[in-house]
Amino acid sequence: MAKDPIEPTRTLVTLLTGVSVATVVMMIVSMISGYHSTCVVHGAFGQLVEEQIRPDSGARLAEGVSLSTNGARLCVAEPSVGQRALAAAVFITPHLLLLATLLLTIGLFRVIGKHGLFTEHAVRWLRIVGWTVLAGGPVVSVLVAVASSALLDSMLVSHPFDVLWLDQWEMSVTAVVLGTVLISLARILRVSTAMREDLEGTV
Amino acid sequence: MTEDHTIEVCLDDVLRERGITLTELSARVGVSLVNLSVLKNGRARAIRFTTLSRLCAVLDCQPGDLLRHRT
Repeated sequence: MAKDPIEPTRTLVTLLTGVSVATVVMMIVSMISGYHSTCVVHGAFGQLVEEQIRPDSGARLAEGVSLSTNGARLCVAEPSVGQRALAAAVFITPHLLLLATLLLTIGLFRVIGKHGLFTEHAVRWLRIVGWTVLAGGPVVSVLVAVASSALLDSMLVSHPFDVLWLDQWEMSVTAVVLGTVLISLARILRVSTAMREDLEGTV
Repeated sequence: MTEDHTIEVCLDDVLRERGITLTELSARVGVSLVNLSVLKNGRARAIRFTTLSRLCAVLDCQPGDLLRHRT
């Protein structure tokens, strides 16, 4: 018996969707309840931390050893509503994109189960998943950067430097590559579908 | 015969002349009964040379005995 071409991906996606839903729900509940403090990391504070540690702490570094910090973690114990909303945008948005992608993938599998793999329906759904990942990744990364810098700005009384969203931006290369691959696969599937249609009725 | 072409398949006539059933032909040629039925009823869009070769070998005929062009 021929193996199901969608397995084991379908099982994995279903499991990940369940985990993703639980994660998003837990994050929303904790954000609303204020269960944990709201934190943001900024690399520019690393040097300030370094200068604080060396002279006064008594901690001595061996010769040739230097201290380097990638950033400081700033946390507010009782965040305001606005800060909670910004923190939600920072932490929940990427998970929402993941959840949306997983749900669309489940939709793709349902379409394949109903209409078949080599059909225009499957091609269309695969293209939708690809564009969601390709466009969604960078958009979400910019949203997270803007929200993160706004959150950091709200935590500072004085501003030793300009808080730019570009400093917080991490480009999602994986999403761009994965989205492009999925779109290419959709095109390959379209060609395969046309070839299969040509062979229909061949004895 | 489909609307795309004017080729007629005369498998029925050859089977009658040889006294062979479609089921028996399917077993001897190695093509499924469904596909042979599609061919016999004029619903096939194309036929592979390998299939045509096997049919001619089993039925002891020429391709022209099986296929006819309707003018």
